[in-house]
Amino acid sequence: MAHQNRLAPEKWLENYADYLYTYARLKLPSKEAAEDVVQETFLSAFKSAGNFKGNSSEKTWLVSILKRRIIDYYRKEARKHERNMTSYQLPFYDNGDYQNHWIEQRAPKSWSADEGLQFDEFHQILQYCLSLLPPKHKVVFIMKILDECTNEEVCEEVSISVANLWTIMHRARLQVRECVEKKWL
Amino acid sequence: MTYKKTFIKLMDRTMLDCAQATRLITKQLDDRLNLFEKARLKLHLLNCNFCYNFKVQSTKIDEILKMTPEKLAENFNETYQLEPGIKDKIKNQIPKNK
Repeated sequence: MAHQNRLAPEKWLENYADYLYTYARLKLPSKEAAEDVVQETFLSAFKSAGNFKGNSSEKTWLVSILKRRIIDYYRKEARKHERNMTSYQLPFYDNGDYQNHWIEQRAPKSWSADEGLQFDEFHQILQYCLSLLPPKHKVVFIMKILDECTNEEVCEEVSISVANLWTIMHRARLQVRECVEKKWL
Repeated sequence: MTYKKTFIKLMDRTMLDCAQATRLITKQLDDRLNLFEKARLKLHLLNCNFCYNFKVQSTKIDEILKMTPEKLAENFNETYQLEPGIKDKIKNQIPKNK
Protein backbone atom coordinates (compact mmCIF):
# COMPACT_ATOMS: atom_id res chain seq x y z
CA MET A 1 0.00 0.00 0.00
CA ALA A 2 2.72 2.43 0.98
CA HIS A 3 4.42 1.79 -2.33
CA GLN A 4 1.41 2.50 -4.43
CA ASN A 5 1.96 6.24 -4.47
CA ARG A 6 5.70 6.11 -4.65
CA LEU A 7 7.15 8.71 -6.90
CA ALA A 8 9.14 7.99 -9.98
CA PRO A 9 11.16 11.13 -10.81
CA GLU A 10 12.38 9.58 -14.08
CA LYS A 11 8.78 9.40 -15.27
CA TRP A 12 7.82 12.94 -14.34
CA LEU A 13 9.62 14.58 -17.18
CA GLU A 14 8.14 12.25 -19.76
CA ASN A 15 4.62 12.49 -18.39
CA TYR A 16 4.26 16.04 -17.20
CA ALA A 17 6.87 18.33 -18.78
CA ASP A 18 4.65 19.52 -21.62
CA TYR A 19 1.64 19.71 -19.37
CA LEU A 20 3.42 21.89 -16.81
CA TYR A 21 4.94 23.98 -19.57
CA THR A 22 1.55 24.60 -21.15
CA TYR A 23 0.17 25.55 -17.76
CA ALA A 24 3.05 27.99 -17.26
CA ARG A 25 2.63 29.52 -20.71
CA LEU A 26 -1.02 30.19 -19.90
CA LYS A 27 -0.17 32.09 -16.74
CA LEU A 28 3.08 33.87 -17.60
CA PRO A 29 3.89 36.68 -19.99
CA SER A 30 6.69 35.01 -21.95
CA LYS A 31 8.08 31.75 -23.25
CA GLU A 32 11.33 32.37 -21.36
CA ALA A 33 9.55 32.94 -18.06
CA ALA A 34 7.57 29.72 -18.56
CA GLU A 35 10.74 27.73 -19.34
CA ASP A 36 12.46 29.03 -16.21
CA VAL A 37 9.51 28.32 -13.99
CA VAL A 38 9.14 24.76 -15.28
CA GLN A 39 12.83 24.05 -14.69
CA GLU A 40 12.58 25.41 -11.16
CA THR A 41 9.49 23.31 -10.57
CA PHE A 42 11.24 20.08 -11.50
CA LEU A 43 14.33 20.90 -9.45
CA SER A 44 12.21 21.70 -6.46
CA ALA A 45 10.17 18.52 -6.96
CA PHE A 46 13.32 16.38 -7.17
CA LYS A 47 14.53 17.90 -3.93
CA SER A 48 11.32 17.57 -2.00
CA ALA A 49 10.11 14.22 -3.32
CA GLY A 50 10.44 12.94 0.22
CA ASN A 51 7.77 15.35 1.46
CA PHE A 52 5.14 14.08 -0.91
CA LYS A 53 2.38 12.54 1.16
CA GLY A 54 0.77 10.52 -1.58
CA ASN A 55 -2.69 11.80 -0.73
CA SER A 56 -2.94 13.70 -3.99
CA SER A 57 -1.84 12.59 -7.43
CA GLU A 58 1.68 13.31 -8.65
CA LYS A 59 0.25 15.65 -11.21
CA THR A 60 -1.69 17.67 -8.63
CA TRP A 61 1.40 17.83 -6.48
CA LEU A 62 3.58 19.05 -9.34
CA VAL A 63 0.99 21.63 -10.39
CA SER A 64 0.86 23.02 -6.88
CA ILE A 65 4.65 23.42 -6.87
CA LEU A 66 4.37 25.11 -10.26
CA LYS A 67 1.72 27.51 -8.98
CA ARG A 68 3.95 28.56 -6.09
CA ARG A 69 6.77 29.18 -8.55
CA ILE A 70 4.50 31.29 -10.74
CA ILE A 71 3.52 33.38 -7.72
CA ASP A 72 7.23 33.72 -6.89
CA TYR A 73 7.86 35.00 -10.39
CA TYR A 74 5.33 37.81 -9.99
CA ARG A 75 6.55 38.51 -6.48
CA LYS A 76 10.09 39.04 -7.76
CA GLU A 77 8.80 41.19 -10.61
CA ALA A 78 6.88 43.31 -8.13
CA ARG A 79 10.01 43.88 -6.08
CA LYS A 80 11.93 44.94 -9.18
CA HIS A 81 9.31 47.48 -10.19
CA GLU A 82 8.22 48.63 -6.78
CA ARG A 83 8.30 52.29 -7.66
CA ASN A 84 6.75 51.94 -11.05
CA MET A 85 3.14 52.60 -10.02
CA THR A 86 0.79 53.70 -12.75
CA SER A 87 -2.35 55.14 -11.27
CA TYR A 88 -5.66 54.08 -12.69
CA GLN A 89 -8.67 56.35 -12.42
CA LEU A 90 -11.88 54.45 -11.81
CA PRO A 91 -14.34 54.73 -14.71
CA PHE A 92 -17.07 56.22 -12.50
CA TYR A 93 -18.03 59.84 -11.85
CA ASP A 94 -16.59 60.76 -8.50
CA ASN A 95 -19.10 63.50 -7.67
CA GLY A 96 -22.34 65.14 -8.77
CA ASP A 97 -25.70 63.59 -9.57
CA TYR A 98 -24.09 60.67 -11.36
CA GLN A 99 -21.59 59.88 -8.67
CA ASN A 100 -20.54 56.22 -8.85
CA HIS A 101 -22.19 55.71 -12.23
CA TRP A 102 -20.21 54.91 -15.36
CA ILE A 103 -18.55 57.71 -17.28
CA GLU A 104 -20.25 57.00 -20.62
CA GLN A 105 -17.12 57.11 -22.80
CA ARG A 106 -15.46 54.53 -20.59
CA ALA A 107 -18.44 52.30 -19.89
CA PRO A 108 -18.37 48.71 -21.20
CA LYS A 109 -19.48 48.55 -24.81
CA SER A 110 -21.37 45.58 -26.07
CA TRP A 111 -18.95 42.95 -27.37
CA SER A 112 -18.28 39.34 -26.81
CA ALA A 113 -15.01 37.48 -27.02
CA ASP A 114 -16.75 34.37 -28.33
CA GLU A 115 -17.17 35.50 -31.89
CA GLY A 116 -14.25 34.06 -33.82
CA LEU A 117 -12.07 34.04 -30.76
CA GLN A 118 -8.44 33.57 -31.65
CA PHE A 119 -7.06 32.20 -28.45
CA ASP A 120 -3.49 33.36 -28.99
CA GLU A 121 -4.51 36.86 -29.86
CA PHE A 122 -6.87 37.26 -26.94
CA HIS A 123 -4.38 35.71 -24.57
CA GLN A 124 -1.65 38.07 -25.72
CA ILE A 125 -3.90 41.07 -25.21
CA LEU A 126 -4.73 39.80 -21.74
CA GLN A 127 -1.09 39.34 -20.80
CA TYR A 128 -0.36 42.84 -22.06
CA CYS A 129 -3.21 44.28 -20.00
CA LEU A 130 -2.07 42.40 -16.90
CA SER A 131 1.38 43.89 -17.34
CA LEU A 132 -0.14 47.36 -16.87
CA LEU A 133 -1.46 46.59 -13.39
CA PRO A 134 0.51 48.04 -10.50
CA PRO A 135 2.99 45.27 -9.50
CA LYS A 136 1.50 44.66 -6.07
CA HIS A 137 -2.00 44.42 -7.51
CA LYS A 138 -0.71 41.97 -10.07
CA VAL A 139 0.60 39.65 -7.36
CA VAL A 140 -2.77 39.76 -5.61
CA PHE A 141 -4.62 39.21 -8.87
CA ILE A 142 -2.49 36.22 -9.88
CA MET A 143 -2.73 34.64 -6.45
CA LYS A 144 -6.53 34.83 -6.62
CA ILE A 145 -6.62 33.54 -10.21
CA LEU A 146 -4.40 30.56 -9.40
CA ASP A 147 -6.60 29.85 -6.41
CA GLU A 148 -3.73 28.26 -4.56
CA CYS A 149 -3.76 30.46 -1.45
CA THR A 150 -6.45 31.47 0.99
CA ASN A 151 -7.59 35.09 1.18
CA GLU A 152 -5.64 35.44 4.42
CA GLU A 153 -2.46 34.18 2.78
CA VAL A 154 -2.90 36.63 -0.09
CA CYS A 155 -3.44 39.47 2.38
CA GLU A 156 -0.43 38.52 4.41
CA GLU A 157 1.75 38.39 1.32
CA VAL A 158 1.15 42.04 0.48
CA SER A 159 0.22 43.22 4.01
CA ILE A 160 -3.34 44.30 3.34
CA SER A 161 -6.71 43.66 4.99
CA VAL A 162 -9.37 41.41 3.45
CA ALA A 163 -11.55 44.46 2.70
CA ASN A 164 -8.59 45.92 0.87
CA LEU A 165 -8.18 42.68 -1.07
CA TRP A 166 -11.63 43.13 -2.64
CA THR A 167 -10.88 46.76 -3.42
CA ILE A 168 -7.72 45.72 -5.25
CA MET A 169 -9.51 42.94 -7.15
CA HIS A 170 -12.31 45.35 -8.07
CA ARG A 171 -9.88 47.94 -9.43
CA ALA A 172 -7.81 45.29 -11.20
CA ARG A 173 -10.84 43.76 -12.93
CA LEU A 174 -12.09 47.19 -14.02
CA GLN A 175 -8.69 48.08 -15.37
CA VAL A 176 -8.09 44.77 -17.17
CA ARG A 177 -11.54 44.77 -18.78
CA GLU A 178 -11.20 48.34 -20.00
CA CYS A 179 -7.77 47.62 -21.43
CA VAL A 180 -8.94 44.46 -23.21
CA GLU A 181 -11.85 46.35 -24.73
CA LYS A 182 -9.54 49.05 -26.09
CA LYS A 183 -7.21 46.48 -27.64
CA TRP A 184 -9.83 44.01 -28.78
CA LEU A 185 -12.34 46.27 -30.54
CA MET B 1 -46.44 61.44 2.38
CA THR B 2 -44.32 59.75 4.97
CA TYR B 3 -45.02 56.40 3.30
CA LYS B 4 -43.66 57.77 0.06
CA LYS B 5 -40.59 59.14 1.77
CA THR B 6 -39.94 55.89 3.56
CA PHE B 7 -40.41 53.99 0.32
CA ILE B 8 -37.91 56.15 -1.53
CA LYS B 9 -35.46 55.85 1.31
CA LEU B 10 -35.84 52.09 1.27
CA MET B 11 -35.36 51.89 -2.49
CA ASP B 12 -32.28 54.05 -2.20
CA ARG B 13 -30.82 51.67 0.31
CA THR B 14 -31.64 48.66 -1.84
CA MET B 15 -30.53 50.01 -5.20
CA LEU B 16 -26.86 49.63 -5.98
CA ASP B 17 -24.89 52.19 -7.90
CA CYS B 18 -22.55 50.96 -10.65
CA ALA B 19 -19.44 51.13 -8.47
CA GLN B 20 -21.11 48.87 -5.90
CA ALA B 21 -22.55 46.59 -8.58
CA THR B 22 -19.18 45.99 -10.26
CA ARG B 23 -17.68 45.38 -6.85
CA LEU B 24 -20.24 42.66 -6.22
CA ILE B 25 -19.61 41.16 -9.66
CA THR B 26 -15.92 40.98 -8.75
CA LYS B 27 -16.77 39.39 -5.44
CA GLN B 28 -18.93 36.86 -7.23
CA LEU B 29 -15.99 35.87 -9.44
CA ASP B 30 -13.44 35.75 -6.63
CA ASP B 31 -15.47 34.56 -3.71
CA ARG B 32 -19.22 34.28 -3.33
CA LEU B 33 -22.26 36.44 -2.68
CA ASN B 34 -24.90 35.98 -0.04
CA LEU B 35 -28.56 35.82 -1.03
CA PHE B 36 -29.22 39.47 -0.32
CA GLU B 37 -26.25 40.59 -2.41
CA LYS B 38 -27.32 38.29 -5.23
CA ALA B 39 -30.81 39.76 -5.27
CA ARG B 40 -29.57 43.34 -5.25
CA LEU B 41 -27.13 42.64 -8.04
CA LYS B 42 -29.77 40.93 -10.15
CA LEU B 43 -32.07 43.91 -9.76
CA HIS B 44 -29.31 46.28 -10.81
CA LEU B 45 -28.32 44.20 -13.83
CA LEU B 46 -31.91 44.22 -15.10
CA ASN B 47 -31.65 47.98 -15.38
CA CYS B 48 -28.05 48.56 -16.32
CA ASN B 49 -26.58 47.39 -19.63
CA PHE B 50 -23.14 48.71 -18.80
CA CYS B 51 -22.82 46.59 -15.70
CA TYR B 52 -24.35 43.65 -17.53
CA ASN B 53 -21.62 43.98 -20.19
CA PHE B 54 -19.04 44.28 -17.46
CA LYS B 55 -20.24 41.03 -15.97
CA VAL B 56 -20.27 39.08 -19.24
CA GLN B 57 -16.84 40.34 -20.30
CA SER B 58 -15.18 39.95 -16.93
CA THR B 59 -16.49 36.40 -16.71
CA LYS B 60 -14.98 35.66 -20.13
CA ILE B 61 -11.66 37.20 -19.12
CA ASP B 62 -11.70 35.14 -15.95
CA GLU B 63 -12.31 31.99 -17.95
CA ILE B 64 -9.29 32.65 -20.17
CA LEU B 65 -7.11 33.53 -17.18
CA LYS B 66 -8.10 30.33 -15.42
CA MET B 67 -7.68 28.20 -18.54
CA THR B 68 -6.09 24.83 -17.87
CA PRO B 69 -4.03 22.80 -20.37
CA GLU B 70 -6.95 20.34 -20.59
CA LYS B 71 -9.41 23.03 -21.64
CA LEU B 72 -6.92 24.58 -24.02
CA ALA B 73 -6.53 21.27 -25.83
CA GLU B 74 -10.26 20.62 -25.81
CA ASN B 75 -11.51 24.04 -26.89
CA PHE B 76 -8.68 25.35 -29.03
CA ASN B 77 -6.85 22.22 -29.97
CA GLU B 78 -3.60 23.66 -28.72
CA THR B 79 -0.70 22.53 -26.56
CA TYR B 80 2.74 23.93 -26.01
CA GLN B 81 5.82 21.75 -26.02
CA LEU B 82 8.85 22.32 -23.91
CA GLU B 83 11.99 22.51 -26.05
CA PRO B 84 14.06 19.30 -26.07
CA GLY B 85 17.15 21.25 -24.98
CA ILE B 86 15.43 22.28 -21.79
CA LYS B 87 14.08 18.82 -21.17
CA ASP B 88 17.65 17.52 -21.38
CA LYS B 89 18.81 20.11 -18.90
CA ILE B 90 16.17 18.95 -16.46
CA LYS B 91 16.97 15.30 -17.14
CA ASN B 92 20.53 15.89 -15.98
CA GLN B 93 19.20 17.03 -12.62
CA ILE B 94 17.25 13.86 -11.89
CA PRO B 95 18.66 12.41 -8.67
CA LYS B 96 20.49 9.14 -9.23
CA ASN B 97 19.06 6.08 -7.54
CA LYS B 98 21.13 5.04 -4.61
